[in-house]
Amino acid sequence: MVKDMNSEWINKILAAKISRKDFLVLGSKLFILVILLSHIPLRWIRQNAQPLKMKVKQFKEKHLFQQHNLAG
Amino acid sequence: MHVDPIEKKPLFHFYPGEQIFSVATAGCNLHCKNCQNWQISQANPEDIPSYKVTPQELVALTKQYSCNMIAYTYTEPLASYEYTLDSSIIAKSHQLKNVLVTSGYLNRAPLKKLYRYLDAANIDLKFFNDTMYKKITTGSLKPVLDALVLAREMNVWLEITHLIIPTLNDDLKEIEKMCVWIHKNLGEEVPIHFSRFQPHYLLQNLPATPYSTLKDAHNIARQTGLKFAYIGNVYGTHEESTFCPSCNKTVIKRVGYNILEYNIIDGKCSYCKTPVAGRW
Repeated sequence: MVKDMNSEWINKILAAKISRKDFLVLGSKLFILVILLSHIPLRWIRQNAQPLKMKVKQFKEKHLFQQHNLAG
Repeated sequence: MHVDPIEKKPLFHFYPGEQIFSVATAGCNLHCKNCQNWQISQANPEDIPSYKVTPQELVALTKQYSCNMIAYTYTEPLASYEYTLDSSIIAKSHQLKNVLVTSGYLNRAPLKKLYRYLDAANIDLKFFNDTMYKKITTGSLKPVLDALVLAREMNVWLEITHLIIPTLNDDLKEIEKMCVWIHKNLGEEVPIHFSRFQPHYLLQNLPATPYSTLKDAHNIARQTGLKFAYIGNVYGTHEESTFCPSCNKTVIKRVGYNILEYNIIDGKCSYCKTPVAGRW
């Protein structure tokens, strides 16, 4: 038991008797959930990375150009 | 030595989009307090790292880098007059084009000799006031005006750069006088580039030119009848594109030194077929 941490809920979890089978089922469900959820930001990043990269490039170009790429 | 877009010289009406082999020698015949390349222009040749490149080697290098033009630029090519002239003669014999980016501060006779081999020049008209010319550049106005007129007479494609420095030459009345002189003596089709000053060398106490001043100068140039006025050293402005003098449509759309649209066919606006001055 974990003590001195005011963490009653941790103790409750540790005290609960979960069978090996239940643990594996719950674990795999959680794993699938995490994969599914992580897919959303991954897809968002994939869609937006290129425009973001371009925006950073344009910003750099605009500000550095004016000081370091003078005509002549 | 460097390969640059021709727009960087700046030349906007001379084979836009081409790459140009750009070369500089150390030294300058002026001592501008605002020089942006002072590390090489105000140095002696023996004081800075350099390559030994003969005019023949220069021509070979230009071809090696797939360029068909040479720009004598960055510093003052007229300070190394013999090298510039020899290189121009050899380049011409190899069907390469010669471009001079200069302050135009030279006597008529040697300039005339050099102009014979030049295809284009961008001449800096730094001030339209002899006192300021002397004070800031150690040169004088008259020889530069003569160099501009001679370039037109000898059919060298000419564009003018006027760097606007806050408090020194940002007086709009003087800019107007300059534009009127250009219109009268060089014609309405000579492009003028109003460039933004960035604090350099001995004028680091001054701020960069505000965009509004450049825009005012641009408007004055257009009002005095100059057909092609541009704003330089400011990224992504409306005034870095070329507009047809007749239908006012965008014939060359630029962002920085990149060309996004090109609507000139056989030297004419592709919309209304009006000829656009330049070498295309």
